[in-house]
Amino acid sequence: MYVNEFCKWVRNCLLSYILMRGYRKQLIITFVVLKCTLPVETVLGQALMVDQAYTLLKQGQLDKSQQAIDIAVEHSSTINDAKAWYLRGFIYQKLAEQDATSAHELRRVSIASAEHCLELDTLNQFTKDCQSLISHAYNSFLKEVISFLNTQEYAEVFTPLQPIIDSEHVLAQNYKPEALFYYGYAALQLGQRDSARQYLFKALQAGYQDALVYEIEFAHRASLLQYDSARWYLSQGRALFPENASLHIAELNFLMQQENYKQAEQSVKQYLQRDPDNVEGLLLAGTIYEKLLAAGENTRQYFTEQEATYQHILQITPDHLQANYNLGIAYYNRGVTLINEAAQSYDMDLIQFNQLLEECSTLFLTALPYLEKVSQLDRSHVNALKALQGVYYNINDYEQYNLVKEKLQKL
Amino acid sequence: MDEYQRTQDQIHTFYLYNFTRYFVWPTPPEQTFVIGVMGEHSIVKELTTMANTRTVGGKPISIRIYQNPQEIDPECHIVFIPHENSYWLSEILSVTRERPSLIVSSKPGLGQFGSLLNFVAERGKIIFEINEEAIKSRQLKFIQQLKAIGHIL
Repeated sequence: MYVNEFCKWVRNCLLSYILMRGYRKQLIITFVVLKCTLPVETVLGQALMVDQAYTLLKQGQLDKSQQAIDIAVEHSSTINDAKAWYLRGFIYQKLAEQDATSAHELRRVSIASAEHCLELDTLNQFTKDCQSLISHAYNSFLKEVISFLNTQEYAEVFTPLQPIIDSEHVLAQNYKPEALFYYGYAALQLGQRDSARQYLFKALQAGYQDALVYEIEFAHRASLLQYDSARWYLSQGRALFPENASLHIAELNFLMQQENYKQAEQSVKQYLQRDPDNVEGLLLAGTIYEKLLAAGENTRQYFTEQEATYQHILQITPDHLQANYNLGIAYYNRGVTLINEAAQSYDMDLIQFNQLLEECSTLFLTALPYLEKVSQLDRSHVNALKALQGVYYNINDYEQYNLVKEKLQKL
Repeated sequence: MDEYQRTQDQIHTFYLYNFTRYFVWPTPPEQTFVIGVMGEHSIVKELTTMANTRTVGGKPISIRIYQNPQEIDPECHIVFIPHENSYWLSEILSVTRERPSLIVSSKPGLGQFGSLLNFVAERGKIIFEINEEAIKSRQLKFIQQLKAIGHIL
């Protein structure tokens, strides 16, 4: 008993010395300590090492605490000690908080230690604590990711997301959908469309609900000409996120691509009810009315709608090039269409035809300032010049017609 | 051909066809009603389309292209001078002087120079000038309603 007590005293002194002097001397002195303690109780020795790590942790000596716990979890006597692994997870978490440059790796060790503790902890003594550690680490990774996303440092988000995405542990499943989404979103922002779609789709499969996921999956299916499938993702997305503008625009584009202009008309009206001054929506509406006009349905009504739509844009932004051009062309095309329709019948009364020409010339003259404006805003706008050429020709202003013709030839 | 030229051709074609309904020639067409065009011009396509589906006085319409005034057929009922070939007007008037041919031009001022009908633009709208004296001298008659649309010189 006396010898044992003495050896305990020596061992404790030396343990403290090890931890105070660093890891290099540790191995040598550990040997001395072990020699001294043997054959007393090896298990007890390493258990005390765990205690020592804990004491050092409480004293704020994190580095030494780390060294002690690393020895403890590698030693055969405590390698299966749940407490040691939990403590290691905790110490590494603290280390990660203090060392930003190595935080990722330290956090990974913290997670791995806590996960190992859960495997060993058959009595569930550390279950909640370990779960908290893991959750904390995942939350820290995600917090970091969100910070990078906010500062648009998209390339930086992949590393902190990888541990969550790679983990097969049950606790990671709660974080995985969000992580997959962020991964896909960052890839999308970096123009890595295939990778983005792959991760966003995984996020959707994992249960993550975001309009972007539906939008990207829809676009992917549509690009593969899988229209039924594309339509499904679109309608699901629209149903889940009826207020999402991006998805709504995607729906409008899809309807137009499918030449379903009647449904597109209803859809764009809904869009503009929510956001009446949205120029993108107004331009889409103008295009839809133009298509409906071309289909020959309620031409006068749709022309009026088209005219009002572009004028609305020009009230908001008078120098909007596309709106000026579209409105000028709308007037011009309307005039040409009326003449085409009338001229093909040949039997219209001359007076009536004369009145129609009056209406057409008014339309041509109304088109002029808008097309001139486009030409001022963009002197090399070939289509605007061609339209101007047509207008001047049709109002028989050959002087202006020739001037525009010269400009076109120079281009 | 640009679309805007087609629109002009359609308007001119519409008018040329309707002139056949508003004018009276001293003798009805024997075989065909002839519309001649001076020189190669895009309007020929529109006129041909019209001629395929219309008749004048129960006779088919024949569209002919004349490369110079000397080629104009004696039985040509309407001679259309496109804007680009306006320089032929005086020679055409001379060649067709004794015939009931309706000479239709399309350049400002040609009405004053003896063209019977002349397309011009007024505030961007195509109208036509009517040279009543010249029409009378060709033994042609027109329905007075035409005056409501055209400008009498």
